[in-house]
Amino acid sequence: MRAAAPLPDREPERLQALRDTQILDTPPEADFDALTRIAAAICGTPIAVVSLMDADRQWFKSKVGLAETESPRSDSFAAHAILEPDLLEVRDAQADPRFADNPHVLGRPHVRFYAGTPLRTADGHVLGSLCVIDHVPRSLTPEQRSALRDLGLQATAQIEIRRTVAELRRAVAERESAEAALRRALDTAIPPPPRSAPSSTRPGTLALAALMVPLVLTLAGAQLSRDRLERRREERFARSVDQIADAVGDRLAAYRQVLRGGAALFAARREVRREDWHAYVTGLGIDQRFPGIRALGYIRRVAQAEVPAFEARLRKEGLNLPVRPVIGTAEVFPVEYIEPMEGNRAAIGFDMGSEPRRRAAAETARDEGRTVMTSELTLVQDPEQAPGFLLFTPIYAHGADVRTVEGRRAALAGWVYAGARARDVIGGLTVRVAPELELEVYDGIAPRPGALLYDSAPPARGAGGDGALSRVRVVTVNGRPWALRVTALPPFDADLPTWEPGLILAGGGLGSLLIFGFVWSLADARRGAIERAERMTAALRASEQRVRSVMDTVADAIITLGRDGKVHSANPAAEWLFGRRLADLIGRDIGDLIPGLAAAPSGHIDREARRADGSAAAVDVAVTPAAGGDSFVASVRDVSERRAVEQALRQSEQRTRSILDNMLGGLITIDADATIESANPAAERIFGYEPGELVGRPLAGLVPESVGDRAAYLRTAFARAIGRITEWRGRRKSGEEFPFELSMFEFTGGGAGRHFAGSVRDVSERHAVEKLKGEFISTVSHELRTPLASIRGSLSLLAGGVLGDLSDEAREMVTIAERNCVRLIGLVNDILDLERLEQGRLQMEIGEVAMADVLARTREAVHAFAAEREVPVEMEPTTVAVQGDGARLVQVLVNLVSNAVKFSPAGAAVRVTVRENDGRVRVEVSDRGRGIPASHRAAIFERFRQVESSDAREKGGTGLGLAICKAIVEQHGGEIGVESEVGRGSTFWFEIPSAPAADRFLEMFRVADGRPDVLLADHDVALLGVLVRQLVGDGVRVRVAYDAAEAEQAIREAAPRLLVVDLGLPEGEGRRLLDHLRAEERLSLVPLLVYSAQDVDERLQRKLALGPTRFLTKSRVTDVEVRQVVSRMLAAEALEGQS
Amino acid sequence: MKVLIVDDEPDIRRIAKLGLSRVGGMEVVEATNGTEALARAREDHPDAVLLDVMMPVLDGPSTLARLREDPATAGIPVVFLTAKAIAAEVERLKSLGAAGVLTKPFDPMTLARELRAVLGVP
Repeated sequence: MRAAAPLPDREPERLQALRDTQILDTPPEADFDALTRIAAAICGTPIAVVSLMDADRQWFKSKVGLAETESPRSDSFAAHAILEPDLLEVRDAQADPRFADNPHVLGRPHVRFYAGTPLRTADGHVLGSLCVIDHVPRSLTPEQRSALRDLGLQATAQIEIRRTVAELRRAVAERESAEAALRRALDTAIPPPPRSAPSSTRPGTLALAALMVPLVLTLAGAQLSRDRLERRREERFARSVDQIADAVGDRLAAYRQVLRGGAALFAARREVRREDWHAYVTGLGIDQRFPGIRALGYIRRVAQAEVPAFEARLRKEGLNLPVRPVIGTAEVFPVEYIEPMEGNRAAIGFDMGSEPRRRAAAETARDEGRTVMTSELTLVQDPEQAPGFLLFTPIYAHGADVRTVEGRRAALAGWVYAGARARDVIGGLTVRVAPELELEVYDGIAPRPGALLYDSAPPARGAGGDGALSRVRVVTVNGRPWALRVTALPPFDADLPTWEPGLILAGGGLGSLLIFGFVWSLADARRGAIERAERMTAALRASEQRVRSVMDTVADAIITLGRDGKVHSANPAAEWLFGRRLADLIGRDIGDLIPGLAAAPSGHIDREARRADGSAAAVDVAVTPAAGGDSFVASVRDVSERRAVEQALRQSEQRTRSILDNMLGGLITIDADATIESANPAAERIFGYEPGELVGRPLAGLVPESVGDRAAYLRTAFARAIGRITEWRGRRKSGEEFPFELSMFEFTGGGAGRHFAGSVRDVSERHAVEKLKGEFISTVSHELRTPLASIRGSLSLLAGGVLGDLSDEAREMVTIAERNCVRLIGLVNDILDLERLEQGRLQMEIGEVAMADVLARTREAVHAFAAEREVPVEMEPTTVAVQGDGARLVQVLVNLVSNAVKFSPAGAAVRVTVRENDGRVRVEVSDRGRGIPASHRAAIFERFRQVESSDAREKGGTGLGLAICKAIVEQHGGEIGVESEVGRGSTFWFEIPSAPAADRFLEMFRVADGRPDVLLADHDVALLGVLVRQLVGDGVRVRVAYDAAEAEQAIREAAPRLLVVDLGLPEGEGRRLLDHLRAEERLSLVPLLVYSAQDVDERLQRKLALGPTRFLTKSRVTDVEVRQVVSRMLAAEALEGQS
Repeated sequence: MKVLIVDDEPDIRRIAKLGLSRVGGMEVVEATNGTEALARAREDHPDAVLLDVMMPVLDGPSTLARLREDPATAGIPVVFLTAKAIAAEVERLKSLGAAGVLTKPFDPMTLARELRAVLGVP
């Protein structure tokens, strides 16, 4: 049951590598087609494909003899091929369990034989395989295998080139798209900057600027607002302060008015009585109109002497109030009248002059004639003793001169005065004016703690905040400075939009941040865009670098061209190739560099590259369009060296072939399966085969039927034949059996597996001669021996006393005669032996011989002799075996041991040892004899030599023994020699190859039957297809040639059994082909079937014929009939050939 | 023991006869060719036949064949006498049905002994 081929390692990478080549599903290309055609032609198969292994299918880039462009991977042979390190060969798919039930085997295209070489790229991925397929079981010769491998390398190289070009195209495309993207990005993200100074790209500065400006604006705005606010506040405040100050001034001015009024009263009347004063004051309505004034009164200037009268008057009114305090001054100033009496009564009689402040104010008022206010003091009558003040207005006597101080002093009558509680005076003012202000009134020019007259908002009631607005205004009231401190209380700001600055700040700040953020992000975006652009540029540069480094280092010249055929760019290899600097290349028309290169074609072309110095180089050019279609990439490879190498190779091959073809000896090479890989013309002649017929046949085909189990025979043959010259029976094509001499050796370099070559010599003639000779010798030996036998017999009988007694002398004579007769017989034997040996060397019966057996037989033969001479013969036991002729080996050993015994002194042992070492068996025979001088050692193995001729007489022996031994040993493929030391002894040795293990060499043989093959030469592909199918169906092996050149080549490589030629090959090629073939002796006999559109007349028929020739006219015969004719012709050929 | 010697060479016959009879104590009858050998064998009923290989008219092997054909003589062991000493020849002769092979030249002094050895008789 067939199993699907396992996936290769790194299959995904492999598939990717395949994709990268961009070769799948591309149209056929001449280059690949050439490879498959060559493969088919060289291997002699009807089908060849370049198969690329996709994930689920194998796709054929190029194919010969096959209609399909792809087939499922699961069924493909190639799936197995791509797993192999080297060629995969399937001799007979039907016999291979992997493929036995493969649909392609069971059905079309009837695959029996498959060979595929993996297409392995530089990075180790097997993209597919180059395969050849046949419909019959067979195998490839080493040359074919080698060629297939080479073609596979070519196919791989082609594919790699495509990948390189694809990569280049991609790089170019990448670059272009990157450039475009960059351009786009820049255009949209950042408007083109103005022609003037480039702006900073740092986002910080810009954003900061963006932040600063609105922030500054905001701050300015806020500040502005605050200022404005402040100003408003201050204005308001100032206004308030003014108002208050005015109010206070007004109020006090009012009070002054009151006093003036009072003064006026006293001025108007001579006498103002209490009741008058009362009426006046009451009429004033001071409670309502002059709040604060606690008392309005009149102070009379009283001399000290008048005091009692004053007091009496008072008493009279019911006021029992003395002038007090008594201070003893000359004058006193007691309060006479006071209104309202309620609450103030106590003040009556009080001496204003007793108190300094009062006195000061009063005197000042008297002296200056105006209303004067005291400093802060507390009214006498005030139960609360709150801060207050008095106002004095002087009253002068009527009509007095009050223009001077003295005048005034003198004229003073008294004062009208008012007493006020500051609180009451001022209190209502601020309430009315501005409740949110705090008014402190200090007596004096500046606020002084002790001088506080009034505080509208005592600390208990909350104070103004920090930084509260506060102003000090000094008002002069009644000649007295009062420091008014006005402080804004929180409620003062209540209706001011004090949030304004904050809001502005907040809003502006937020806005600034927003602006900042926006600008930042913009700038950031811009920076990001620029960075991206830079990255892309860098990546582009790097990719450019990579491409450039590829282009720079790649050995092929790579040129980009525009549509106009002008060079746009070139890599260093191009400079080298064309012998021009880059500057000289760019802009040059490609026709200058590679004449005849049109800008449009694809695929590979052979052209010449024209160098600057005028020289030319053969190049292989591949042109592909670059992405975008308006430029092209040309990859140019200098193949002149390759061509030269190819040429040299061809020449070398030709030489070799010439030698092979012309040497006299036959040379056959086989593989380890004993299939003939090649046979030179001499070998073909020997075996009677047509040129090319032997190739691919099994060696067994050359073995006579009579042998029986050919496989076993060959196996043993190999084992025996390697490294030796051996003789075999062979079978010619005609069936005739003949003897040939084979000298076989193993060689390397023929490709994978073992290869053997055999030099073949037809020895049938020699055999005949030898047979004659043998017969002659046989006859002669008989003729010689018979009389010798008689002589010897007679002498023996005589000497034996059988026929009566002899005298001593007579007996001595007879003994002499007998001895010489024996010697003569020995000589005759030796001569005959030697002759036979040297001429009929193949009389040896090679078999496996146990050396132990040889030793035993030798011992038996020499035993008596050795015992007689009292020379012990010691033999080391051995288990070694050799391939050889046992009897002959015994003969050698007997000879050597006999010699050893002969030349050993009595008692000295002769030792025989057998050793095996490294495939050879060494036998040594050592004696303690005289030894052999160096000068003799070499010659000792020559015929008729003995150390001294006297030995012959003494010791007997013919002098031929060692020569015979040498001949026998060498016949075994061995060597013989001697080591000796004069006076010590000698060691004779011989070495022969031991029995090689037959199995090591060979595997199973297969006896293949030869299939007839037919070569079809026709340019009409459709017609060919039809014929091929039919013939294949008939079991015929078909080769196809599309033109005369191919046909001729195919015929030369391996002459077909039948050549079918369409005479209609263009331009008379058919006729020419036949003429060429006819010109060569061996090709002129090829059976020929001429297929033509029109009848060929008899005369022409004669001219065209080669071997047995038939003519068919296309229009007159059907395909079936053609088939029949072919079959008949093949059968006839077969009969004639009888293979 | 009666031995029939067949050889076209009279000298060989003579020497062999002397060797077999004088030395070996055997009774010897002679034949000069194959045809005679057949008659002799029939008439004299020898215990063994010493048969030369190379004889004109009817050579050794053919004579042997004839002897085997005749039931009267078929059972008589035959020993070939040959000048060719090669193992192949020996095998060949043996394969023809000979009891053994002796080579020429032979030593008449040991011939009887060897014959006995080949025949396997004491």
